[in-house]
Amino acid sequence: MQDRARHQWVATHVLPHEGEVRAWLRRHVHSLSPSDIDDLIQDAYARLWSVEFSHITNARGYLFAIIRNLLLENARRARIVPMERLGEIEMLRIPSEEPGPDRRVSARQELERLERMVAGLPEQCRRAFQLQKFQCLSQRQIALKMNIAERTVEKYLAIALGRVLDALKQDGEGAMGRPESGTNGHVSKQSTD
Amino acid sequence: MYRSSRRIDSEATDWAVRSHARALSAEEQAELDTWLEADPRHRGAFLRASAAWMDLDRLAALSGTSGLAQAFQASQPRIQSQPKSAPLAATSVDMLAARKHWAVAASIAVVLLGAIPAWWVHSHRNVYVSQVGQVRHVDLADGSNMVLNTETRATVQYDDAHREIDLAKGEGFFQVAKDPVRPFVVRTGAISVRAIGTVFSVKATHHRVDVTVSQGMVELVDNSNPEHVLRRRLGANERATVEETHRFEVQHLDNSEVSRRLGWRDGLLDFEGQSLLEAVGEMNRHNSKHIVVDDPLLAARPVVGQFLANDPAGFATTVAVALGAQSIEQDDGIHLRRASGQ
Repeated sequence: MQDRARHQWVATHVLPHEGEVRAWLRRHVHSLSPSDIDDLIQDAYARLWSVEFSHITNARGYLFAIIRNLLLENARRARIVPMERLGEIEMLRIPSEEPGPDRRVSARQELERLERMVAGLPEQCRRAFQLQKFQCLSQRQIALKMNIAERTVEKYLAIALGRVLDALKQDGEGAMGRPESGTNGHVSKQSTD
Repeated sequence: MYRSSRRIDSEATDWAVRSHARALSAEEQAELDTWLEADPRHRGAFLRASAAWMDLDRLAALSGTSGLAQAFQASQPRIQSQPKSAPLAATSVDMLAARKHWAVAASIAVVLLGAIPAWWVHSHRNVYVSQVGQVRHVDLADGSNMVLNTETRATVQYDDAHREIDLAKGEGFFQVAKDPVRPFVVRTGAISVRAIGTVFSVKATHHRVDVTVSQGMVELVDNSNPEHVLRRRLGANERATVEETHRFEVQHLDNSEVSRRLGWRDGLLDFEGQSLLEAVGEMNRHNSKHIVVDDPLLAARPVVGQFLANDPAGFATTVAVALGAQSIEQDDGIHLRRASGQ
């Protein structure tokens, strides 16, 4: 609980850029499989676990820097990227600007996405989620209301959160423009694949 | 040992939901700590899942102000007008729905602006009021949060050196983010409760203040003389009752008693054999629709169970069944009387 402020900071300043980072990885480090990217992202958040976040003014740049360092470390350990790619990674440029307003996910798009996610949930699960987040009932109240165990409520909520996290992974695709769709050239083409 | 990110994500979502939706038990907390300690990627996944979970509150608040919450409830895919940052609409929404929308209201405005304006951090003073029957969650700027019970008024004032809450009346629960430089002080009645990073609740009634600590430790100070420390350490599971005259008593509570006393945060009232009269008094404190017990014998009967604080009709019906009584709704409230023929 003492970490609420950190969680909030990550929610506000880091989560919005995860999609862009993933898209960037897909575009530039072709040897990474989707699950390699998932691993990298977890590692990146792990670095944020203990960092003194209040000093970080540019969270987006910081996130990219972490990813780049992780790629280099992994390359040195040859866990993911072959050695000859080291030089390439070192030359990879971090996109220097934030995506323009047209490419950033708007609140409206976020809501639409959330709505789609909610609509796709199994019925009981959807109900528990709605009661929690939109009616602001506590877990115990939901359990009473739906006449199910609190543990079950937790399971439903975890399923819903899992879908939200999956949706985050897709972020870089839609609103931010697909890699192939010819964006404004924020990113230098260093990858050779 | 390599563990798949999928597997880790799934465990992380479970923990994120559990630790955010309610207080973890001591065993669960220990289990979570062990899990987090086991692998940095566990920590990463947990941080990510927790952040996403909290971010949903922001989206829920956005949708609440745009009418989407209703659309969601009806499960009709429908998007309404532009989200507004003004949280004022929440007052007209039903009580329970209102409470979290209010809570996130402050942070929402900030998120929409993109960054916290400096003036907002350096000094701001906010007054939070909960209505009868309302339980209001407030996230404070430093990461602390407070929950106000029914009919409570709290003024929050933060600056570079202080974090002060003035609890004019009512009851508040405080989860204090650690900040050794700025002590967190709740002023009420004759005393102040000073904390650095801890979890406690304060209840102010006419001539008395009740302080219950669930984690960490607080200090009780005399308001008329800040140098006068009434009690240096009030620790976890301790409850102090302080009279206006500064006379105070300290009582040790067990875990279940502490959580029972804090059940109101979830909108629940827990009775373990109090008289019906007492239980009804507590229910009435939370509702404008009052329950009246017409029979003194009935009023003395014990009540056991957990009830939704904002549901007097449900309470009356359940109690009537349990005690063989009748519940009759009249203009002046719900009357409980012995069933005819008994």
